Amino acid sequence: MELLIGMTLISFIFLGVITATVVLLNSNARVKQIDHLEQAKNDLQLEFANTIRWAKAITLISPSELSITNSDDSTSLYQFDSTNKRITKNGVPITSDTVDITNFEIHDYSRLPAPSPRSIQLFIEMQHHDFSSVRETFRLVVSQRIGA
Amino acid sequence: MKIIRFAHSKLTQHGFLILEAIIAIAILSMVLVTVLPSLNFFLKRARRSRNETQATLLLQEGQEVAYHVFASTTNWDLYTIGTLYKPVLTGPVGSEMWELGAGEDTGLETLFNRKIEIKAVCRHPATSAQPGEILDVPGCSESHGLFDPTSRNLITTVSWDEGGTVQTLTAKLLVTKQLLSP
Repeated sequence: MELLIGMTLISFIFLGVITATVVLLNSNARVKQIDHLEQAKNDLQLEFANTIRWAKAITLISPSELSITNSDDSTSLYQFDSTNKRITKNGVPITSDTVDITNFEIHDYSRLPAPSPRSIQLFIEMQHHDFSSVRETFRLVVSQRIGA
Repeated sequence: MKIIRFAHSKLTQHGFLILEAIIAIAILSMVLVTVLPSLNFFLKRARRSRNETQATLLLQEGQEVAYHVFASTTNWDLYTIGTLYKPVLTGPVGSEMWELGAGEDTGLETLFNRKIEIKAVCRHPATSAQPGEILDVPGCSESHGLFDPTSRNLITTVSWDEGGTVQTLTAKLLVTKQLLSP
């Protein structure tokens, strides 16, 4: 009887330790996946905030296409590549292949017609390429500065 | 004699098994007692970091909308100094535009509150040692002698409750009409 009780207790302890280890390893993997999305989010935030804020001219071509004339007169064309689930700048992807962009919407909520400064809202939904349960959604508003 | 020794040995062995289990449980409990609070601390820190990132985005949104409204309006008197505002979209569907509506945003993303406060700007007089420099006076208002009608401070504040403690992020943006007016 004592042997049985002892064995049962040891089994419970063993199971508990194994479960805790698995949970720790899983959460570590999940943190890494979340980090990938956070990195993509930060990169996009920086990219769009700087480009739109200091743009010479901004043209919303479609709800997922934005053309920006930069201060050095170069042009940046941002598009949503729905096939590869990535955002591209002049045809080159600016998001990593570990992140799938599932939705990319651009809205122009400016108060005056062009060429007055624009106020652009971006709505971006993304998920991890291998773990679709790891998702991130964010909204970014950037206003073009006068005299940029 | 032999029987007694056998019984004693068996008894000792039984006690040893239970004792092993009790010691194991005690060690595990000690480990859990040590690890759980630190795990809780890390979870709290992760939640706080996530909330701060979200609050920063809301703060930036407030600042960008306030800037855009002031940059595209010549009559700044439409927005009363000392009043709280929030970003709103007005106009028909498909051609909405930013506007500042009176009041404060509450329950943004179910957690955050946001307010944009328009503050007066007072400056050192032209005859002073630092002419035109911003004068940080608590009573700066439209009636103040050194009030600058061509400048405003747009102060955006985002606050949220985190486990009973109110966290706050604030950003200040100075807009001047000389630069903004077309």
